Parts: sequence; C-alpha cells; structure tokens
Amino acid sequence: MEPILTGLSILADPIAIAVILLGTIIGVLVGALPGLSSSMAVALLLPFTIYLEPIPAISMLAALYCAGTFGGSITAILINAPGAPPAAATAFDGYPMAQNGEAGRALGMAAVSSVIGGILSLIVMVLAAPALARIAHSFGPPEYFALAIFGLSMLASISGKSPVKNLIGGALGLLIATVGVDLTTGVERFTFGIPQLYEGISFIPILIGLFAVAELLSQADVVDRAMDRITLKAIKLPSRDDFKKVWKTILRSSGIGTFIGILPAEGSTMASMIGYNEARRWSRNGDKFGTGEIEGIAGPEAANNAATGGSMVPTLALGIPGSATAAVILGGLQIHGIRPGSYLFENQPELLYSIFAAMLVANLVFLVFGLVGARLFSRISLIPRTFLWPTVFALCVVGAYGVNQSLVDVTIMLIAGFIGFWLKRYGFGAAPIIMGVVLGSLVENSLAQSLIIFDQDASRFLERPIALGFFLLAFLSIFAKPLSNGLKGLKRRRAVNGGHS
Amino acid sequence: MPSRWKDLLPGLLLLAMVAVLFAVTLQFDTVPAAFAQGMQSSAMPQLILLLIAALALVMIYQGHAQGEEEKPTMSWRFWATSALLLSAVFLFERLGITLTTALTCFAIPLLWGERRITRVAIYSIATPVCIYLLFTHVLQLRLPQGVLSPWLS
Repeated sequence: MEPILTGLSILADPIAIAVILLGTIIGVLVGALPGLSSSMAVALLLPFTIYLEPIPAISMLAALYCAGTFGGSITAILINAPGAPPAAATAFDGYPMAQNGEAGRALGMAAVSSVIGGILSLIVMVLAAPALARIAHSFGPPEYFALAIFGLSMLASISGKSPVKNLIGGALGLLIATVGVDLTTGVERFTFGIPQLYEGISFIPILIGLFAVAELLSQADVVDRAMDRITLKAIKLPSRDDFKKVWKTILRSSGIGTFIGILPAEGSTMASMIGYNEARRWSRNGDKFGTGEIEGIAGPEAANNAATGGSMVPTLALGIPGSATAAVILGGLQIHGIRPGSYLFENQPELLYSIFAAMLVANLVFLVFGLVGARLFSRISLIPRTFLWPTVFALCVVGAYGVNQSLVDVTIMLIAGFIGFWLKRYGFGAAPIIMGVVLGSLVENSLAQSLIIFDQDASRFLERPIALGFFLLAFLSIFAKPLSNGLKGLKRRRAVNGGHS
Repeated sequence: MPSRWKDLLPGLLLLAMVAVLFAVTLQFDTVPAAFAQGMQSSAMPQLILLLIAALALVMIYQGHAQGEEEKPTMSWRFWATSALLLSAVFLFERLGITLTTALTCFAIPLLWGERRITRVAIYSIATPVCIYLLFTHVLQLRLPQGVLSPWLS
C-alpha cells in the first residue's frame, strides 16, 4: 500500500503536476502538428528532463506520450492531415464527418474514446507490469538474451514496408551500441582515435538526429498545400445513442490496443489500424465506413491510446520497449539511472504508480483540452513550416549539446540526421534503429554472461525452456508470414494442377 | 531514373559498409580468454555485421526483378539546407550556439521560400534570444557562445 500512496503522492507535488500538465500540452500541440510525432517530441524533451528528479521527469514523458497520441486526431478530423501516424485511421471517417458538418461530434467521440482506451490500458498496466516483473525475476542471462532477440524479431512485423529493412535497422542500432571502449575487456571498438567516442555514442544525439533532423531535411522539399479547413463551431460530447452504438467497439479496441501495445516494438499505429479494421468487421454499418461512420472514429482512437499504457508494460517490467516512443522513454529511464525489470519493482515500486498517475492525469487533461481547446489546437497547423522547423532545429542543437555539454554530440546528431534521412528515403525507419541502440547492451551482456554459464557451448540455450520459448516466438515473428505465404502459394499451385489434370 | 533492381543500391552500400567495418574489427585488440569473460570484444560487432550482410543479401534478392519505387525529387532547397546544416557544425565552435542558431533561423525560412523579410528578421533574433534566456538563466545550462562570450555568459 505504501508504494501506491508514495507513487500517487506525485499528484500533491506542484512541480510534478506542472511538468505533467506541460507534457500534456506539448503532447497535444506536437501531436496536432503534421510531421512532428510523439516519439520526436519525447526525444526533444528528454535532454531537458535531466534537470528534474527522475519521477517527475519520467511522468512528464509518459504524459506527453499519451497526449501526443490523441493530438493527432484533431488535425486528422479537421483538415484530413493526421498529426501523427497513429491518427491516420481516424481521418478515414473523421474528415468525412467534419465535411458533413459533424466535426464537433467527431472530435467529441475521438476525445472520449481515447480517454476510455487510455484509462483501461493503464489499469492493465498497473496490474500486469508487476506480475510480469515477478515472472521475470526468475530470468537469468540466457532468458534475457532470448527475450531481447524476441523483442528485436518483432521489428519484422511492425508497420513499415519491409520486414527485412526493419530487421536491418535493428541490427544497425545494435552495431551503434557497440561503439566505445568495451567495459569488460577495455578494448576500443570503432572509436577511430576520437576520445569523445571512448564512452560510446550518446543515445540522445542519435535519437534527436534520427527523428527530428531527418524529418527537417525531408521538410525542405515539402510543397505547402492549402488545407481544406473545416470550421469548428462547438465540440459535442457523444450522445446516449452514440454511446449505445460504440461502447462495444470502444471496449474491443481498448483490448486490442492494450494487447498490441504489450507486444514488444508494436505501437499505436498498428493498434489503430487493427482497431479500425475490427470496428468495420464487427459493425452493422461496415459498408458505410469511410463515409463518416462514428464507429470508425471510436475504434482507432480507443485502440491507439490503449496501446500507450500497454506499451509501458514490457518497458517497465522487462526493459523491452513496447513501441518506438516507449524505447525513447526507456532511454530516459536509463539516463536517470533507473533500471527497469524486477529490480525496479523491488527498489522503486512507487515509480509505476507515479507513471500511472501521470498518464491518468494526462488522459483527463487532454479530454478537457480536446473538448475545450480543439479549435485552438487545430490552428496550430497554421504555423508556417518555414518558421516551425528552424525552431525545431534550434531545440535539437541545444538538446543534443545539453546532455554532456559537448559540441561533438551536436555533430553526431547532425550525422545521425543525414544518415536517417537517406535511410528513410530508401524505406528504413528510425524506430528499429532506436530499438537496437536501446537493447544493444542487454543483448551483448546477456549473451556474454550466458556463454560463461554454458561454458562457451551455445547449444545449451536449448536446455532453458523459457529461452527456447522466446526463440520459438522470435522464429515465428520473422518466418510466420513468409511460411504462410509459401503454403498459400503451394495450395494455389496444387489447386491449379488439380484443375488441369 | 529509377533502377530496375529495387534496393540494389542500399544493399550494395550496406555490404560495402559491412566489409569495411569487419576489416576494422580484425584490428581490435584481443585479451586473454580469462579477461574476455565469454567473448572477445570483436565477437559481437562481427556477429552483428554478418547478420547485416545476410539481411542485405535477402533484401537484394527480394528486390530482384522489381522496379525501384519513384522517390520524391530533391530540389536545390534540400541541398542548400544540407549545406547550411553542415556549415553550422563548423560555426558552432567559432560563433557559438546563439549566433549560429540566429543565422540558421534567418537562412532556412528564406531558403524555403519565405519572403516576409521583416518577420524572418524578428523571428531569427527572437528565437535564439528566447532559447538563450531559457537555457542559460532558467535551466542554468552554459551554452558555448563563441565570439559573443564577452557579452553572453
């Protein structure tokens, strides 16, 4: 009981409340701005949280994560330009509703569905994370190595055009994590005689470069287009009839979103797409989806916000990020000296409840903001990109410099930005690289320790049932789709051959 | 012109990178097995590089007989912005963060087509000043000020 009260006492701390509110406002603003994502905002804000105590700092990032996921729906509904990828599915029915003069009803439904999805997933988080951590307490290095491999293998199935490119991105991240002096042997790796690289490449400059600078470079060639902006008169809370129509969709999507969030690497974007598709599949009006159906908003919005709470479960309990933004928050935990996993729940159990309280407040605050301030937030997209992006660049520079007070980090950030731009151009995402960087030390250390335990005999991994289970899951997450496609092709060929004979 | 073999260029670049970095790992010092605690320091990077090479080959194979996707053209604006950001790297040390930021905040909007010069001028002064005041005086972060050091500290 004491950890719960200590954790929730964050709500009595004026500084903590102020930073949570700030995180929520920044989150909604950033979420509403096309091009800026919650991952990028968390990455940009992370260096500045160093000046805060760990618990308010992580709470602020968690609040931003929740609010950023919701913020994207405002511009998705009003101008058909999703502020962030998780809101893309909301635009399918949100914008047609707005065109039909129902923008207020659509935004009201988006806000309420998001809050319900978010809060339900937080309840799951607060119950499941400690339970998962207790299970993980019995894990040794072989199990952690297998778990990290499973986490990386899930990159094959995250949203993106090519599973292979996502896996390459993860491997590049692992490679970046090996730069610096190897702490076990004292041998320099890829330092090329640059003293500033002896301690490795800092996580934050890479993060800011890949997410923000790469996007800035992409924006250089974006042609400004006049958005067909829908006038918003007033936001309407969902009526009783609307609720009757969507409550099952909201509950189903909350479950889907939470589950997708808990899976390593899978985030809000995939959750919202599945939430939308399932809403359409189960709806009596499935054929009307895309023309302004209210369930088409409730489905993706409940799912994408539920994924935020879900993704924090493996992040806190196992140290395996549940999404790209959770990977950034995991980096934040590490920077603040917090070690996720069973140790966290033994030594700092109050942190979980503080994050719960922060995300709960964020959900309630963005409900109010969403209902009262949507008109204002929709105007945020009027900021010309010619002024927005140079400001983002200035914040990137200060953010990258601030952590170690080193201009080398600013250079690393820019290099990461250029590499990120070119990788993105060829279909490689930033999120898999960040996942690889975050998991790099866990993969290497747990493999080295496992080999010591196994007396250099890697085949003894097969003697550990939990590790074996994770390896099987990893195998399935990589090969399930190609195998199923192969089987379907085989069946098709047999059917064709059967027809001929 | 789009190539007829999708992902051939990034695949080959990855393979070249793997070859170079693998050669670098061969130069890593080795330590006695007792100190290495299970793995020499070159083992993990080599393992990862081999994995990248294998995945790059799969990517190249998958792209075989598929046309490269049409990519957005890169105008002079992209190259000019890139050059500006690269030159900023060299300017940070001499001119300091505040002045260099002011220059980028002035140049980027103009490069990207903004023609309201007075607004750009006000913006390019106001943004770095706000950042300076916030970080130096509120967050107590000392930013390198280069030539402005005598006046800004």
